[in-house]
Amino acid sequence: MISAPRASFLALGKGGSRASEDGAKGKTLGQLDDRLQRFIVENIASVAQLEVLLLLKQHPQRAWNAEDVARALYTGPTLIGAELADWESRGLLVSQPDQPGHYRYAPRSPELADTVNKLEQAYKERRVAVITDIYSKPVDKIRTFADAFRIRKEP
Amino acid sequence: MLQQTVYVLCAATSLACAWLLMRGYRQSAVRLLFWSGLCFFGLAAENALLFVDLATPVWFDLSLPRRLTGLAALSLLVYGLVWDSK
Amino acid sequence: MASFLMGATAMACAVAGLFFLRFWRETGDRLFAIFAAAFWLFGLTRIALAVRPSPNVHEISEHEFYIYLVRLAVFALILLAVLDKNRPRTKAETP
Repeated sequence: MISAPRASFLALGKGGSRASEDGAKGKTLGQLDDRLQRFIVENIASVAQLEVLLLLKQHPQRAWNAEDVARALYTGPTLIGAELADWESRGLLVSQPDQPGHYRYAPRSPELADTVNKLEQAYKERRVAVITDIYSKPVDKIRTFADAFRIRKEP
Repeated sequence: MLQQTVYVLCAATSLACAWLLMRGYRQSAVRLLFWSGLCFFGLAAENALLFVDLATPVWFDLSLPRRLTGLAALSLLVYGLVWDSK
Repeated sequence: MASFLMGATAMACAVAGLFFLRFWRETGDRLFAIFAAAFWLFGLTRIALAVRPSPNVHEISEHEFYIYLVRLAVFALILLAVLDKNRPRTKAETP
């Protein structure tokens, strides 16, 4: 009779700590800032693509081409060229007019720059969360709502 | 004449939105699209009732069902927004 | 009864508009700003119907010229948002 309330009290305590554990787990497993998550889902399809961006960000004065990037990241240059061009079309890199095939980190707007700063930080501190969001593409309900009004679905 | 055209246009637009949202719901299973789709169906119905109301005699007042439909439609939208917009 | 229904509907419109405003802030997508404006405008018509004193014995109804004109504006805005979403765009533009 006395043990029953104690057991339930213990259960309550256990439940409490489990809840906080779950809360912390939930945070590590991909509860990135909404805007950051949206940026990842809309722009980043692979970790390699992210690493290319962050590499150029770390050396903003230098103009990189595909071979330089491939050498720095220990990968082959074949896909790097396409990824550099992709980031340029998204307004994060700027191609050098005097050096063909060379790009520099130059975000088109301060909000974009801020988002990439946060992304860089998140990639350092919560790498698993970032990688999870890159590959799991969490459903953004709000964006799905807006996308529903597209008459012809784009890939 | 203008009045009837306005109601028809509004009903058509609403119906188109409802259809787009329901199609989106079928593809994505995001509940928000379901509730907002229903809302636009309701608004289309409200506009249709307004159109019909012009044709009915004065004593046959459709204002209560009209307004209830409008309120119901918007309530569904608010319900979906509150519970299903993350 | 009519005032209650109009008031409740106006409130629902206001809330919906607020949600769309929040979505616009979160995503930067123009569609939500237009939807917010459309729903608030619709709410205004409900307020006008509820608040406006009747000039004669009969109640003011939706069939008033200005009321249904604003209704046209509401759905024109929604149509505009849909058309805007379907414009051909480059990858660099925000959706």
